[in-house]
Amino acid sequence: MSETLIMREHLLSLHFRLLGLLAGWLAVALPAHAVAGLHQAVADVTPEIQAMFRALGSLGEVALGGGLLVAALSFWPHWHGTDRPAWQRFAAVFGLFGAAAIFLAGIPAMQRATDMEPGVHGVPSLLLLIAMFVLFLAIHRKEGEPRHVDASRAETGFALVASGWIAFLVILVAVPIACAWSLVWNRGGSGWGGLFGGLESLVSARYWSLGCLAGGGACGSAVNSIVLGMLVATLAGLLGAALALFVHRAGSAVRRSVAVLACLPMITPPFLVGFGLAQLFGKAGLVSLMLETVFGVTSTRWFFGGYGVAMAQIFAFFPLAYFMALHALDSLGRAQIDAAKYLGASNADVLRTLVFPVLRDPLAVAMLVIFVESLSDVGNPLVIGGKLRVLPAELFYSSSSELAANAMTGVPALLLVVIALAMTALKDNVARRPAISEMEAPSGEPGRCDLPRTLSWLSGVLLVATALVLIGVYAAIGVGAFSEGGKVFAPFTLDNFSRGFGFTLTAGGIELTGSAWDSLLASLWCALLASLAGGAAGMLMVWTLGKVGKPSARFVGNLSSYFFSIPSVVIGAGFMLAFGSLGFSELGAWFMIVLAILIRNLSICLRFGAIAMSRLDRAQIEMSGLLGASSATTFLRVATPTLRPVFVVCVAYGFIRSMTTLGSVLLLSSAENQVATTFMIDRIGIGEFGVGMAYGVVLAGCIAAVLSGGWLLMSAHRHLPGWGQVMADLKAAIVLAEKNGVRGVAR
Amino acid sequence: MVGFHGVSIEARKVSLSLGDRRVLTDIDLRIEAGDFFCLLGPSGAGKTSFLRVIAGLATPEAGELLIDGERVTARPPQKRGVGMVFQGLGLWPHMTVAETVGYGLARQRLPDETIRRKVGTMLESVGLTEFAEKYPGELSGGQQQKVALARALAVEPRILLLDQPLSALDLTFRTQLLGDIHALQRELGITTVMVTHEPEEALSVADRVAVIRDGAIRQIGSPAALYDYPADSFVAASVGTANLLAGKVFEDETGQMRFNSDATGDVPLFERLHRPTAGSALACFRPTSVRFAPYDAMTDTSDSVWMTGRIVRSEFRGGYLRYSVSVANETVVCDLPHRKAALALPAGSEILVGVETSQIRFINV
Repeated sequence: MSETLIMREHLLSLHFRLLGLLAGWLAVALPAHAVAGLHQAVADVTPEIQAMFRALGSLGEVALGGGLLVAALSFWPHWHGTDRPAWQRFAAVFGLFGAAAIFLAGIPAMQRATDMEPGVHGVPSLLLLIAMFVLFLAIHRKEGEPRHVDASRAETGFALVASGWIAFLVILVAVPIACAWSLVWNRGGSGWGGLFGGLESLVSARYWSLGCLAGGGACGSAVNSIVLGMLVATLAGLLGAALALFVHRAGSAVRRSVAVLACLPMITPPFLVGFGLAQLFGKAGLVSLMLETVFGVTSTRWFFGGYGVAMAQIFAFFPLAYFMALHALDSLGRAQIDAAKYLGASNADVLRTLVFPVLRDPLAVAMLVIFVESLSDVGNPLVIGGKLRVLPAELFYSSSSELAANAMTGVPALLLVVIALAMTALKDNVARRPAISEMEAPSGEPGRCDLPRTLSWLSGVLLVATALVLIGVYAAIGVGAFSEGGKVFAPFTLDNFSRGFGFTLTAGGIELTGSAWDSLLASLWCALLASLAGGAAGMLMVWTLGKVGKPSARFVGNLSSYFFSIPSVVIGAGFMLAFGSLGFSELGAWFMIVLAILIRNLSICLRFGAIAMSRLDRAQIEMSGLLGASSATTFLRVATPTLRPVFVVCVAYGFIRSMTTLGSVLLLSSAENQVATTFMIDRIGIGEFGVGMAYGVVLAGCIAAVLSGGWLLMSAHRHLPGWGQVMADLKAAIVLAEKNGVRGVAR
Repeated sequence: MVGFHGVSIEARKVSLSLGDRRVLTDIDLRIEAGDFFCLLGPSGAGKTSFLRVIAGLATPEAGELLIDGERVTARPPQKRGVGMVFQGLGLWPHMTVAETVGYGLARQRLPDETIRRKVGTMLESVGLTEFAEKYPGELSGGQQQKVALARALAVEPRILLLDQPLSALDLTFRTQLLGDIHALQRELGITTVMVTHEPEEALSVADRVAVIRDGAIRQIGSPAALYDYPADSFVAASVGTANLLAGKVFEDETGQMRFNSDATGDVPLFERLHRPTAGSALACFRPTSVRFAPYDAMTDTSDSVWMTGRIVRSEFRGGYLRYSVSVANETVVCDLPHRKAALALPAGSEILVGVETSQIRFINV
């Protein structure tokens, strides 16, 4: 098959997938509003009938109806084939979504969003239970097998866990986003009018104006976001690839130090990178001042705006491209390069015919992922964005100011979701193409390709420049934390720390007087909970997916993959829309924050789980079963000891990510419940730069302390993997999670 | 096919280290033009390293390499005229079969038409014409093997290097493909060096074989010479099953050299046979060299050694029956030809095991 044919097939399947997404949405949304519109047409009939129509006019009912329809289809003789469980699974997910939407719509606080009569809880709960049971049956049943719940108890348990997982995602991710739909639809009234009003607001100039190009004012925020994303993705991808090309041939010392350097931005809140860059390149920044004194270049405020945000995002997200490119290069076997060499290929030939084709797909995946990361990065636009309007910032501003007015909140969220999902579908298509690594030589000897001299120099220079900038960024933050007002050249002070983290010793013990203590402690607790839960969920789910049968596992994996590709800032917004007005207690609000952090980490947790499982020999597990151990016993006695080292790495990484996440918690936090990152961004927002930077230092210290504490604890029990193993696992998990998402985590 | 001609290869005291590890020590050998030469040895013996030295993918730290009488020790791989099939094949998954086979030709800047023609001829000779537009991932293991072979041969190299080319294939297919490779090599007359750890592969196709261990050559010779006259017990065991009975050689009072072991008893060694010096020695003979006789038969001991033993085990191997016979404290393996409906001797039977003295090789240890 020729390249073009393969390309065409990929594009075709991409179109089908996008069309499928669109069709699924239309199938639910359009009838919902058509039916809802009817109640206006029947305005003169009795209020009861009118109320019924109005109640029908919500996404929930239509989804439920769709579910029933799909379920009915599976009994139609024509469809009555071997893949009935597949139809059942779809029907059940539709039903689950619908029932959950109705259930939530029945809560009084949700009326506004869904145009639904309050107080009908019994029926929706029953529907929810039925849908979950159907899903459970569909997952439990293996393809082509009769419908009996006669299998062993263990299998039932696994099906229960898998269907519970899907229910968890549908209720916590899909339904909240549907609320955003509803908000948009019902903005201009219900029914057709609302539909058109909603569509209008989706394409309004506020988001799609090309004014800055035409010269007439500012561009729309969606346009800004997309352009910014494309710019950042391209440059970060190229930077990552160049560094990988250099490091790939370098010794292990360079490899290790670049790995550490590349890990830093991945475990720092992205906006802190931007803030550090501002310390260097801002009007009063170190580099700007140097340029002014040495070359007489007048420093300007160019940094605050699109350039700065782009620069910050490039440095924050290039490690991903770096890791993926390095992984691809390392997978190039020695035999593959040697074969080209003795056939007379020069270094440039090897680069052109082997290395670039090998790099192409992983780099494309990395760029698409970086695009989505840039799209959903809210911190940098808020901190150094100046007047730059992008979608996540728009979402943040509209939800803080306009939610009460029931205005635009839904639109940026919807646009973010649509763009992110489209990019994810595109990424999946690229990731699906056969990779060169799948043909790796059994000897597994890594190949080393030499670069042409100019490229070698260029990549070396880029590496040094990147290293200098990154070191400068962290140094600027470190110095700023100990300077008055956070300025680099200001006198030394501990004031920043004492304001944030001051404490006094009293007779009763230590009294924490600093303003930041609450958020720090809250962050520690949330991160600990979320990372432990994520690690456990990852291991458990991979174990489960290995037991429910291939079609079910694939279904669960694919569905989860799409859920996890939704920008975390949207998940936070969805939580706020769906559950925010329920009047949760403070504990409930914290619960939401932990959940939002957890959902953000799940995809990588599952990857860690898959890596752990791949360590297990199938024979070890089967032998345990043959000797009469139950599935649970096998998991605990045979699997767990093998999984433990990966679990440790997974929890540690999840902990760091949880401590440094901003997007998923920004919209959920308020003055009463703040975590470290939101508190930091507040300080920076009100001009207390020094305290913000001091917080960054303390955060790093806390993370280091918790990790080393955990390290000591674990090393006492000798459950520790070596450093090389940790880095290898981390790299593999990150690369695979970004490349394939949750797809194919079960063997 | 035209364009091929065999060249000789000569290694003079070639040594190679990888890191701190010495992988080749003073390799001295000469491969004649047009030979099919095999390097046989266990994994880690240095076979592949030597192949890489010939290809120029590894540079020896001492010694020199001559191809066709020319010193090539420092010459880069692409200038040596070698074609290589790697153990892992090293096929490129993003290139079709035709692109893969034409890769080397394209590097020579040949016109497209020539490349197409040569690729066509090459694919035809390995029987892959209809797979020209397939990707490696769409081919079977054997077909991938042939693509790797065609890629190596397409540039009309002077030397073909095969690094365990058949290790990934199953037995039946291996035999067939080896036959194909051998026939092609004979037809082209190209000097070929194959690395393998399977004695059957080496012995069946090679003109000459070098047995290599720990980076040093233990013996070089024709397959039959290695099989019949192994230089040491390692060579004896690497080229096939061997019975090695420990004993010692001494000179009796009449000046006659004799070998004595618990199993064989006293065996006089004659001048015309290869004679070891006095000291510890092994009596080495192949399982096919033995005869059986009833335990109480009248045996002729003038030209044969007869040992009393008890059958421990018998295995039916199709063409022959393999008996393990316990003789003194040692186990002697005996292969006896099988004919239809022949009876196997049951385990526990007492028998006499006879070997002609001329079939025994005495090796000093």
